[in-house]
Amino acid sequence: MNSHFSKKIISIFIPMLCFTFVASAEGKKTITLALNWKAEPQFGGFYQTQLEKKIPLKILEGGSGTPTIQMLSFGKVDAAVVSAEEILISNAQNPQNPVVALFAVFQTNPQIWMTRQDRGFHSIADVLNHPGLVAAQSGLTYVQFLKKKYPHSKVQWVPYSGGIAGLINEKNYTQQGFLTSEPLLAEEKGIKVSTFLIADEGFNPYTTVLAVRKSDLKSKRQEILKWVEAIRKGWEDYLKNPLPANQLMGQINTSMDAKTFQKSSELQKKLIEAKSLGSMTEKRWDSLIQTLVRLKILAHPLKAQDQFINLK
Amino acid sequence: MKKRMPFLLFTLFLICVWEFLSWRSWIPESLFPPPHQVLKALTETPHEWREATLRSALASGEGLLISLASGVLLAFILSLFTLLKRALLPLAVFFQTVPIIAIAPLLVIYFGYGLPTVVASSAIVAFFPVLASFLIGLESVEKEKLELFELYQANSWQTLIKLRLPSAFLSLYSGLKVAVGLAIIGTVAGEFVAGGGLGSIIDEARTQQRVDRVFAALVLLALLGLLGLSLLQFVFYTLNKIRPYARSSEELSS
Repeated sequence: MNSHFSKKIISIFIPMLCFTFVASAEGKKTITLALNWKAEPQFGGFYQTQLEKKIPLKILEGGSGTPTIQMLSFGKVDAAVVSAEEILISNAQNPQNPVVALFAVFQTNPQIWMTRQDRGFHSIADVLNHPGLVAAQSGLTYVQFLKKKYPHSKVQWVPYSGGIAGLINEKNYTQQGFLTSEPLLAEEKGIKVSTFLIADEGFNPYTTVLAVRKSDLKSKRQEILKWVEAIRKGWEDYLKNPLPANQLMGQINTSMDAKTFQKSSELQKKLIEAKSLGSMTEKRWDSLIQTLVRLKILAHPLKAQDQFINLK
Repeated sequence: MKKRMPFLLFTLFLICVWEFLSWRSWIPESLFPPPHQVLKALTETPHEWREATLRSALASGEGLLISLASGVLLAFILSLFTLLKRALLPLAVFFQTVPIIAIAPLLVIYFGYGLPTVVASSAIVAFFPVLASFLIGLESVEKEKLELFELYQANSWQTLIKLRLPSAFLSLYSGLKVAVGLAIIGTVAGEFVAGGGLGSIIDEARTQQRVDRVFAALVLLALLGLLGLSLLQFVFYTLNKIRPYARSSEELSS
């Protein structure tokens, strides 16, 4: 290759390289937030935060089987929305890359079971004491909790693969869900359902929890404090007026219509509202840790105070 | 045994390298669990693993047999009736391209939870390679031999049984080799939605972030695949020995 030609290449290549670096440095400033499910009202406040643009937030949707917590602990994203159990399991199994909870959206866990109303059931105990199918994602902590609580249940456990197709096609069918989404989908299809909160069975961990890596919290605490403040503001505004964020989510998740978005965001209000939105207590983290140790999901108890922080 | 030596040694070498990298913390344990951890996961609950492996093996076996029977039968029919072949073969491609994960939840609705769905899922993915390979085998007969059969005024049925079928033997064998692996993949996909077997363990382990258990299941699935292939090789080797029009067995063991 003659030297003139190589100079020419270099003169094109170097500016390109510089540009790439600058662009990626700029891109770094955007905070990537991974969700563990589709854009639904349970994440409304995060989308509201994105709309308010106080922090440059980029939200990545998740789905069934998305390894959201691993994406966070291994540094693929800056922040993630996961459940409290996922944080504990991750910290126990991957102690080199600890994560920490900053903001818990739901004070009452919205996880439910639902079944057809005409079965006349009044509780989860009724479901488990009658023959039928229960569709729940295998490996879920509360499933193990319930199996231990009701060792002589008469149901057949089957995998849950999303949606409400099973409920439509089977009579004696109970499925997992979020109070704020699946029951509304069933209603839309004209199926009358009874819903039972898992929390009423004594299993009520924080869920839809914002988490970051502990190392990041150490190195840029002030910046992360700003994130949390912006997100708290986002949630406050979303609870007052969910419409703008609902419209945004409606464009991303077209499987839910505007009416359902509206209903869902109203339904979840009472599960979220608290004196200080998103704040957590050591007592509840500790109680979850004890439960997980009893269920042998955690081999050893973790320190509750290391798992979360109420940034002020 | 001598023939297996390179494979065994290389596998051992890979395991040692993996263990070493993990021991030096060059690869994260919670993403790639070292071999000893995978082994530990296997020995923790041997009963559960045995039962799950047997279930998956049974489902894959049934799926493979169904795909073999239906694939061979359809290939027979299609090779006899050219018009039918033109009408049906493009449709059969459906079975090749369908992402089983996408229709697996529907299979649950058609067949219910449990074994039937898993077998159906396995058979669907294993079907096409059997059909395609056998059909190609039936049709790729040397022209001279065909002319000879014509000369002796053999009808199409006689040509099929005495000429096309024997010459499709090897082709079917290579199709089945592909189908064995696919049947196992189909089984796992079916188990994700219908429950049971190693697929169900993988599903559960993913939720619980137990990557060691996921890998343990993968090891067992790989062993299942190897076992299936060896069995297949044995059957075809034996058949090849006893059939009168045997080609050299060299072709088969390659």
